[in-house]
Amino acid sequence: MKEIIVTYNADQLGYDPNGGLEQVIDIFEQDPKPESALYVANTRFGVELGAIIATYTTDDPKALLERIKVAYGTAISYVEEGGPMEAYTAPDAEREEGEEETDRTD
Amino acid sequence: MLRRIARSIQAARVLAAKPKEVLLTSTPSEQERYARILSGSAEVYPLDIAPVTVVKTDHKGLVDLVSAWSGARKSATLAQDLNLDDLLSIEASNPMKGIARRSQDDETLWNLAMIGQPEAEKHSDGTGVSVAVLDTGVDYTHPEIAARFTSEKGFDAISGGDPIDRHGHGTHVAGIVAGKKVGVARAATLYAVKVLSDYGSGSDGSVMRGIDWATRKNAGVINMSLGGPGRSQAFQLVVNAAHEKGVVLVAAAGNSGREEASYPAAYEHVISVAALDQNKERANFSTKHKTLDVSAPGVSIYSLKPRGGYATHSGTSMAAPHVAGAVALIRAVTENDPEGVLKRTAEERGEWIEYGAGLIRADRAIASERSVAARTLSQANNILRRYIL
Repeated sequence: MKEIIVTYNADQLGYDPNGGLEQVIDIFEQDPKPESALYVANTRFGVELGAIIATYTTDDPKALLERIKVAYGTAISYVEEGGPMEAYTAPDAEREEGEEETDRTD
Repeated sequence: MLRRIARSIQAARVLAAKPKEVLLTSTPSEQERYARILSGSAEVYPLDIAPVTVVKTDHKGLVDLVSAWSGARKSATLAQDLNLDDLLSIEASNPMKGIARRSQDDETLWNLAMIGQPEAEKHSDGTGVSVAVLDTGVDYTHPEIAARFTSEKGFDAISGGDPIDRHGHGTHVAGIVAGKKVGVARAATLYAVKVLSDYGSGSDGSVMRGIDWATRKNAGVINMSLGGPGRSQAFQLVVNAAHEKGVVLVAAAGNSGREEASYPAAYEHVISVAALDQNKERANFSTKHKTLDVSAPGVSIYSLKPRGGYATHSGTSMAAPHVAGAVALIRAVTENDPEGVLKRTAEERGEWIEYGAGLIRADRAIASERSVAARTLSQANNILRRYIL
């Protein structure tokens, strides 16, 4: 499974942050609906620009993107593949006396 | 006569203790003479700061010395000119088993001492600042941190369930941030934000959701002891939005040991943290990069593990929460930019791509902000006086 992150222009998607929607994801009325969506506002040159960042997981990114373009094409700002994240614990250099255990995550 | 009885009692005590060494207390003027004469038959260590001489001898020598001093019998081996009248006392030297050994806390909490946490804590404990730990969840029932959580424990961006930690990484990190004994900011509020699975892995999407949740909860600090190689414009937008709302984001620089970018540490508006060992040297696993901001202890760090235990871990994962905790300390006393304060007061260590501005010093940071506050107050008073007069 791959994670696809689509950033939409909130205005063009018709999203109003004060519009009373219970959840951001509810703005997506047509399929394919994302697994999650969040609204972020960034100020650029004194202007607040709203974006909706939606996350999808799929085995077939190409097909998914075609469907997204059909449904919300004009509102798409950019599409990215989500990367993996991992905990940054390294192998321990030593184990302190009296410790119950020394876990290794990597 | 009374002195002889007293000496006999003391001599009996000394011999009963079978010491390997005895302490002789004499008059100052006689100390050197005793030391010189006894040195022929024993190891003798006169102290400089008091007229006390440590004498190491075998049992026969000990019996000889003590008997002669008490007047029980004349010494067969000690020189006849050893006038023992001025030898005020002989005591068995008590064994000092383990006295030089550091306690476990001293041994394992070197990291807090290195960043000046004990001194900083006299003036700030992070009260009123909330720190969101984006990780594998946190064992919010651990006795060291249970009191740091409100009724809202946090958020699970992985499955929408309970943000409890079943992996261990997040609990260790949270302990460094705010553990009662092992933490930096011991009165800060914690949020457990589960963005990594029980196996320690996640994705850009889960971490972005975690940042979004923490920002909406008005977290003052977000700690991310995690990362990956991929840069995402969407992620930078999420970081920017959190930053605009005043959230301070802290991330581990990575554990590759190579020079490379790791995200979210390399995003703009994220404090990227390298790891140091006990000698304040860069840990060999700590990722190098031009976007590094500061360094903190990250080798063999003693903190919490789920279900009430303790464990030692290494990694830039362990370095980042030192910084998150220090940011909480700073935010509790000033509205100034914590990143700037930390960099300005850091202990420079070397090349920027390895150490950033250097080792964070919470003590210097807090002292600096208190000094600024005092100066500002003084200036305000001066202005007021000028208007009043």
